[in-house]
Amino acid sequence: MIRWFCPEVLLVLTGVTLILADALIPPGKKEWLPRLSILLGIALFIFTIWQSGQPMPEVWANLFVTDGLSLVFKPFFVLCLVGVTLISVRYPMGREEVVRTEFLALPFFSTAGLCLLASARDFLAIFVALELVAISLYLLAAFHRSRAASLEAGMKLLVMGGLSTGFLVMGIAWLYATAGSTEFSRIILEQAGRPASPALLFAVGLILTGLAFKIAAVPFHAWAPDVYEGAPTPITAFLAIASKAAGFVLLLRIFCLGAFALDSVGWVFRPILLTMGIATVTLGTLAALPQRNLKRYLAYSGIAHAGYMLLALGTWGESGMGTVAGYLWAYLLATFPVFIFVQELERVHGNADMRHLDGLAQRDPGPALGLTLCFLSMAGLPPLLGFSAKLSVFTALWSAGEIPGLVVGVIMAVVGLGFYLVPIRAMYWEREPDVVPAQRFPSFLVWILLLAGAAQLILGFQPRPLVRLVEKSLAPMVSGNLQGK
Amino acid sequence: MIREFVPVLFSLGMALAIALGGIGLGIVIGKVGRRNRGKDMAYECGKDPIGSPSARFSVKFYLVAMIFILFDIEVIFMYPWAVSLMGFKQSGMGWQVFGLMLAFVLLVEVGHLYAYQKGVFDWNKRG
Repeated sequence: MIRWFCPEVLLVLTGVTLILADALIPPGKKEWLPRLSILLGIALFIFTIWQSGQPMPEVWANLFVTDGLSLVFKPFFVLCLVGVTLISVRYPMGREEVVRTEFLALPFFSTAGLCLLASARDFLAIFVALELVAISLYLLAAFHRSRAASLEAGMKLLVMGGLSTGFLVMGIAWLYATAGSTEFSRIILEQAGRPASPALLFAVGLILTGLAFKIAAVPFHAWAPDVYEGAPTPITAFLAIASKAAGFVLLLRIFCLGAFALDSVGWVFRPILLTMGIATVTLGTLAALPQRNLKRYLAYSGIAHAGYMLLALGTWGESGMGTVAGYLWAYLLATFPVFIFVQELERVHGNADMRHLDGLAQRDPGPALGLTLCFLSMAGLPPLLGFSAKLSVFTALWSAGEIPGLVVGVIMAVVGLGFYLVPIRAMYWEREPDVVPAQRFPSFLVWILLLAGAAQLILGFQPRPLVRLVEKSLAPMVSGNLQGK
Repeated sequence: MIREFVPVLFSLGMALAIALGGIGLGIVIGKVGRRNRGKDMAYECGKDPIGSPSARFSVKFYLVAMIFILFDIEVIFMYPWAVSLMGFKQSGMGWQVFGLMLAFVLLVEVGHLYAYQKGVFDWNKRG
């Protein structure tokens, strides 16, 4: 019975509670609901860490597994949820203020799907969980419906998400026709030791295409900048971090641990992953250079990061896998604070244009310093956290002998330094604009950004906690797990 | 080979008989009522069947249709569940699987309650 109290079930129950409370409590008496959702989010985060080693309910034993990867990434997703809830509360909704509670409740459902994804061991489970994530996100992206950009973002996400799901389902169907099962362990048993049939390779290709949309890898990246720009900023953060991480967790689970961890598949798909990685890093880095909107800029930066992780994934080994897991945490820690800042920037100035950064260091030295550290960490400058992440990508590529990927990766890391310096230059070397905004940044922002900057520095010098997390994520089944098969 | 399609032919015949029979009986024994343009239209629900395809109509149609689909799908899920419940009962998981369906029905009921509270079924409410 106690097994039913797993994060997924509680996340759904929390979402349901919030929605029911919103419907049943008369208007005007609901001011405490946002605070309640924050509290519940934090409680869920603590709960997830506390019991993440516990196996899932018995009925689900064929569909879900509890292992290192799910142990490390369920807290990751719930942490994203807490962050998103914290900034959603402050998101200026305008005329949509009446539906604020729904705006806060939907991410809970989406996160439940993400947590299910982290432990899925069957393609059907993956499909259902992915839809749970995606449908909530379509709604959330279009939530600010009095803004045309938000509607456009929702529409684009819906169309592209539907397309990618179509690829995925088609791949699963072909896989079922070839291997006779959708369960990872059965597929491995069925396919091990024999050459991959063209039908199997076609299925893997379709599934990879479906997931490449989710992580915004070139050539399936085109939706990302528009959607990120138009969606409400908390949702942009959720899309850019949690949704992207989910894509990578799935890729890890499918290509490194489960279904397709086969030499016959790797022989064909390693070069494809590496080529996609090279293309993604190059396009993400070069296209970020001319961006003048911070949200679009972060979208291209996210594409470049996805490219580095794809390169690590393309090494098809355990070190590459650990690298992706660590990189995702580093990406979360460096990117989320910037999104918090972007939202405050939008509150003060009305949009996320980069010219609002001009002269920020003179007005608000604290946020400017924190932001600089985050941007430099994203660029991969030593001794910050992002440097360790990029270094481990390059080490994995070097030890796997993937020289072209390594060369392009290093070159783009250097070019990337150039585009991460653009906002820093604006903050420190541009003259302050004459028109000073009436509103100022709230004081908590200073502390959050300084804390985030300090985290980049401390974890950069002492990455041991992160290394331990990565080691944990590579652990096979957690003991006490009702595995059966 | 051909014999296997006899049931198909049979159901086709039934469909034709019911459709034509209904109209025919209506002509033969029906009372001639008052007729007007509105009553002679294909649908008697106030929607003009011929007109601009981009005509706007109330969003409530969509809402009700969506909620209908929701409950439709709930029933579809119940069929395989009902068929396989006995198998689960024999392997000792009967109550668990029963509880799962109960949880599912409750979740859908939450949606229904929410829609009700938000006034989706109140046809006279504006907006």
